Amino acid sequence: MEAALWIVRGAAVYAIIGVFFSVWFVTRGIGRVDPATTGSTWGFRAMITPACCALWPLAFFWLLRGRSWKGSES
Amino acid sequence: MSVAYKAVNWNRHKLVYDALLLVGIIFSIGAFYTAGRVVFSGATDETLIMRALAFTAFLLLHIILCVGPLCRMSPRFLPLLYNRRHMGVAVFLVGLVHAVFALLQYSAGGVLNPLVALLARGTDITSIAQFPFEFLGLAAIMILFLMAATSHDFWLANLTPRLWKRLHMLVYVAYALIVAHVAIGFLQDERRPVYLFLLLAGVGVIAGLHVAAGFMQWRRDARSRRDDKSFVDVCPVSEIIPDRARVVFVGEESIAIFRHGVGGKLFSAISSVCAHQGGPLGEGKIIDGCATCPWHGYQYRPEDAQSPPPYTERLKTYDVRIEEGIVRVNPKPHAPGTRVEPAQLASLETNV
Ligand code: FES
Repeated sequence: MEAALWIVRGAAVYAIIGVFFSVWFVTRGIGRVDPATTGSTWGFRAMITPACCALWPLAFFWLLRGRSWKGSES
Repeated sequence: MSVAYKAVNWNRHKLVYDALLLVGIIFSIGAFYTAGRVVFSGATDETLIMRALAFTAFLLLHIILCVGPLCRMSPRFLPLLYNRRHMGVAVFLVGLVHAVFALLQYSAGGVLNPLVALLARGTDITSIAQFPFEFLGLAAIMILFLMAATSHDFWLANLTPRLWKRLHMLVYVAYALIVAHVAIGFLQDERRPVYLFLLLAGVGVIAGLHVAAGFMQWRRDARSRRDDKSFVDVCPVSEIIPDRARVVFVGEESIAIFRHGVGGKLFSAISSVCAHQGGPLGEGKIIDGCATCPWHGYQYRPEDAQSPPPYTERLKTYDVRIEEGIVRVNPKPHAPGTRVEPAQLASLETNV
């Protein structure tokens, strides 16, 4: 019971951080990771938001490196 | 010149397909509900709707898992492959509604948060009656979410095709979890063996198709090894959409096989790594007759991988062939800028 509570709380915290990060990422940070997103629509940005919320540590890592790890513009 | 991402790459075919998918989903839910009123006479409306949603998502998942092997066996099924992503997202959405229904029905109403109530429920993995089969469904829905959420081209490009593919192979894990979820869930409730048989029949069809497609592929590979060891199979010609490319990784080489020319009859293989900043050229399109990098729009002629004058960028080229409807490439590169005659589709093959 106690463990279940902590699992749900942990997941909630992870998701909330993901939501805040994603809002910033899809509106501003994304261009640093993938230049092809420049000028893309809001529909596209909304479409990738759920995965940003789930994979935000990965997107954050891409940002820290200043480019996507497969090698993008610097 | 870059090709910006769109929310959904709809065209007329995809719209028709999505409309059919929606009608199919509604029909499946309705048909199951109606039949369920007779078959499960004691069940409440909520239970029937929940099971109808589960049945529909499970059925769609079966179709999805059949598409891959069917396409490897015959190009007639390729239209299903082009639209598989939308069906995958539909599986997740229908599965999610099922999960929410189940959560509200079985775990809500108490003082606890329904999720906490679900996770804290007494379990005993040694007994079927007490086995927490909901956890299996929960794990499956998390995998399906990850797959649906990353199904956009943005994720394909940024996770890289190789990692994206690996992530999406988790569909088999999700399928196994759902089979166990359904089997155990039913065994706790239902004693009639017909449902177990239906479940086993579904698993049998999927397993059978995969084995058959694997066997055909093995025979094809054996033949190509016998015929010419230097070429490797890429895919059936029809898997490459005109003015697009298919990317293959062979050893150190990342090769984009572009389909170009009038009517998409020509196939040329060039390096998929853009000379500008290493962009994924194979994810670009043919624009004005040139392979165009999706990152900043650098262009290359497909036949010799040279940028048209006045530009001077060059990429490696590769020999490509079409044999029995299969595109084959020799991964040994030519020097950058070497002209290679494109492989040409015979007229009989153009409609596949
Ligand atoms: S055009 Fe810049 S990486 Fe290809």
